[in-house]
Parts: sequence; structure tokens; C-alpha cells
Amino acid sequence: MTSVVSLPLYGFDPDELAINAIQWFAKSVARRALQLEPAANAVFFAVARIARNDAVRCEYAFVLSEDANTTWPFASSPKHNAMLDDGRSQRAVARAIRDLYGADTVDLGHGEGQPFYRAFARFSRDPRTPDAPMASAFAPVVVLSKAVFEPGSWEARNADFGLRATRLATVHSPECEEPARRATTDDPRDYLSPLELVDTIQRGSELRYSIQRATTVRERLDRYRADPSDANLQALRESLGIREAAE
Amino acid sequence: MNEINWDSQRWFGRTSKEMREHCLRWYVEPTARLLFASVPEAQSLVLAVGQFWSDEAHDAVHLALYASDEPDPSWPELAENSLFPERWERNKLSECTSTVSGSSFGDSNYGNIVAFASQCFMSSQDEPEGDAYQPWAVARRKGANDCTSKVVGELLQPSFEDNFNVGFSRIEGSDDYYDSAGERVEEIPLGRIKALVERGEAAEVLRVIEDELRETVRAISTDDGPRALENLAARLAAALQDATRADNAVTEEESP
Repeated sequence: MTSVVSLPLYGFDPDELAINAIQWFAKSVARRALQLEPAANAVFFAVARIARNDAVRCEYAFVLSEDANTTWPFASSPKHNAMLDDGRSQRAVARAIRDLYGADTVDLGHGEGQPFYRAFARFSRDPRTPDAPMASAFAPVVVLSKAVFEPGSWEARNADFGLRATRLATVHSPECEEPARRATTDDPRDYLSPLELVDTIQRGSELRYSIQRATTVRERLDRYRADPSDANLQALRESLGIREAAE
Repeated sequence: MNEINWDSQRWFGRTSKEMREHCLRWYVEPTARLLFASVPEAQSLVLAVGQFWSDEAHDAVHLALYASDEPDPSWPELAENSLFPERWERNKLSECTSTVSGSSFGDSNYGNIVAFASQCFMSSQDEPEGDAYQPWAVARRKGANDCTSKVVGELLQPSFEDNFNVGFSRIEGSDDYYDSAGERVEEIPLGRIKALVERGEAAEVLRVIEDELRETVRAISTDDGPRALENLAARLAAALQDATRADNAVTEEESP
């Protein structure tokens, strides 16, 4: 019998939910699976909406690939991926999930309105039946490939490899996008997450300095546009902090 | 959506409690399971938290994991006699945390403060670890490779709970040496917070235009220069007007 553990996926909006899921679920599973299956060099994290018994769920899949440069859907095709062919990919992923979370499956809230659905349904294709081929049913969100850490870094001392995340997600299902909160309220506390709010405000704390600098840039830009000489170009470059000599 | 940083090291929650639960369920417990599977003598893993100045911010919050061969380790003794005392050397515990998180967990100068500062007393980096840190959660071995966890921390500094105006992202002033939580954003009057956000957005627009200008000017040749810069010059002029207006709006909101 398959065991399931429910884990909380938090975030203010779909983007924060997606980052939490990728950073703390997909990457952890990928690192563990790559340790367990050393021949693999990349892990695809993909999503699909699957219709069962009149309900649609947004589900995830991990696919290991020997070739870090392979592209979806080839990574999920046996013809192009020997590891899927003999079940090594699925076994490594299943073991990774069990090692990390103590269960066969992680439930992150996959029904409509639930966290995983809110984060990823927009990147999925149209709902498919459970028996649909993976390559066409699932859409890749990110590929996590082995990366070499900077020699001598803390990370390099503690792990044999790192991960490089390459975004593959595109919005296949715009009907699953949540409406922009900004259109419905003028209070920034309602349309920005707490983190975005303080980041945005903090960004403005040195605006006076930015205005001074941009004013200088603008003066030199206008001077160069009126007289495109090498000297004026160099002055403009300097105002923008470009250090190398003009060609 | 395109701005999502897929390599972000941050973690998110709408409240301090959600962020703490995220840390426990996605970091501490998976690390404990990997550790218990690979180190038979390990019986528990303690997440300890401490708030003290270290290198950068005065209100920084630090997290540390301590493995023990006892299911109920004593504190502060554990800080001195944990299974892997050399925290900066590679060992079984650091390998497990690297597998789970890629390196360690969190951000001492921001996210950790939002999540855990309420659970700490302000201390000092000159104190022994057993005094500077205190246990927040214990994950105990369950069988060969599973765990159960229990939160042992409690609310000690209420002004930090659910307060996102802390650390390096603190919204007023540029002084790093804070010894208390900042003003809660929910208590800031609407007019002022709108003005502050507009000022921040104006600063971002200026930054983006300057970045584009930098790229364009790097590649420019004298022949096509003025024409290539026409559009950017107009955008910079408009952004400067908006920025000046936004800066004045904050001054007006803040004047008595």
C-alpha cells in the first residue's frame, strides 16, 4: 500500500508557492535522486493536470536523464532515456522521496484552489486522463542539472555536486492564472507579499542618491546626443560606471 | 511571473509560524531522516536558534543543528558534546544538510529573523554556544530511518512575531545596528505606505533603465549612438520626473 505524507506548501501567491516547491521539494528530491543514481546528470520536474472521477488534480513527476542537455519530451521517452526504460529513474525518485519524507508520496495540496495547484496548474497542459503518455501529458517546469561548485567554497566542501536550475515552464493554461491582486485593491499590503512589500520599500530608501546619479547620467546623455564625440561618449560611460576604455 | 528567481535561496510564509513550520518540515525532518539512516548512533537532532550580532546585522538570527546519541539530550550540554562538534568540517551531518538544502538553511539577516527572532533572546556572539543559542525543535529517531519531531521553543520576543520589517530589509533608515523590531507594516498609515511603495517602484524603474542604458552604451558606436539612445533618453527623463514626485510624496506623508 502506498503511504502518503502531507507537507505544508506556504506562500502569499502562486509565485511564492512555486519557489517554495522548487527550492525545498524538487531540488531536495533531485539532489537525493542524483546521489542514488550516479549515472544521471539531470532531473526534470514536470506537472500535469490529471482528471479522475470528475475532479482535476495538478500532479508532479520527476524524470532523471543521463544527458544534462536533453530536452523534454525526449527525457521522458524510452527511446532517448535508457534510465526510464529500465525503471532506474522511477526507482531512484521513489527512494529519494522515501528517504527524505518517510513516505511513498508527498501530498502538497493538488486539488483546485490548493497550494500545488495554485503554483503549477498554469504551467500544465489541458487536463489528461491518468493513462495518457507522460511525455505529452506532463509539461516540464524546471530541469535541475548537476553543477560543479566553486572550488574551496563551503558548498564544495560539503557536497560532491550542486544543482543548476533552468526554467522550462511556460504558461500553457492561462485560465489557471490567478487575477492580479493589484487590480482589486489599492493597499499594497493586500497585493504585495510581506517580503515584497519591505523589499520594495527598502529599495526606495536611497532614491535621493539614485536621482542625483540619474540626473548626471541624463545630462551627459543629452550632451552626447547633441554632440556624439568620443569625449562625450566616455563621459557618459563614466557616469554609468562603465570602467573599461571606450573602443 | 518571468521575474521568478528559480534559484532563490529564500523561503516563504505569510506568517512567522508558517515559516517556522516550513523550516521544520522541509529542512529539519528530512535532514534527520537522512542522518538517522546513515549514522546508527544518532538518536536525535536539535535545531537551536540564537539572535546575536555577527559580522553584518545586529538583529541577525542564526540556526544550528546538533546531533546527539541520546533521544533526550540536555541543553546547554549538547552544544559542547554533540556528535559532530566540528561544524565547519565536512561530516555526515553537513552532508545531509547539503542534500536537503544545497548548503544550509535560511538567511541570517532577514528570513531567519522574521521566522525565529520571536523565539530567541537577544544574545551575543561572545557567549558560549549553549548560551547564545537555545533549542527550538527536536527530531527523534523513529525506527531505522524515520523521525518524529517536537517544537520546544516558545514566544520570547512578541514584537518580532509576524513582523517582516526587520534585518537588512528594514524599511526605515540604513543603520545596521538594530536592537529591536521595526514598526509593523500593518500599523503604517495607508497614505504613507502607498507613498513608500511608489518610491520603491520609482527607484526600481530608474535602476532598470540605467541597466539598459549601460548595456546599450557598452555596445554603442559613434555613428549610430544618438539614434540608439533616443528612446532610452525619453524614458530616463520621464522616470526621473516620477522619481522626484515619488520622493516628495514620501516627504509630505512623513512631515507632521
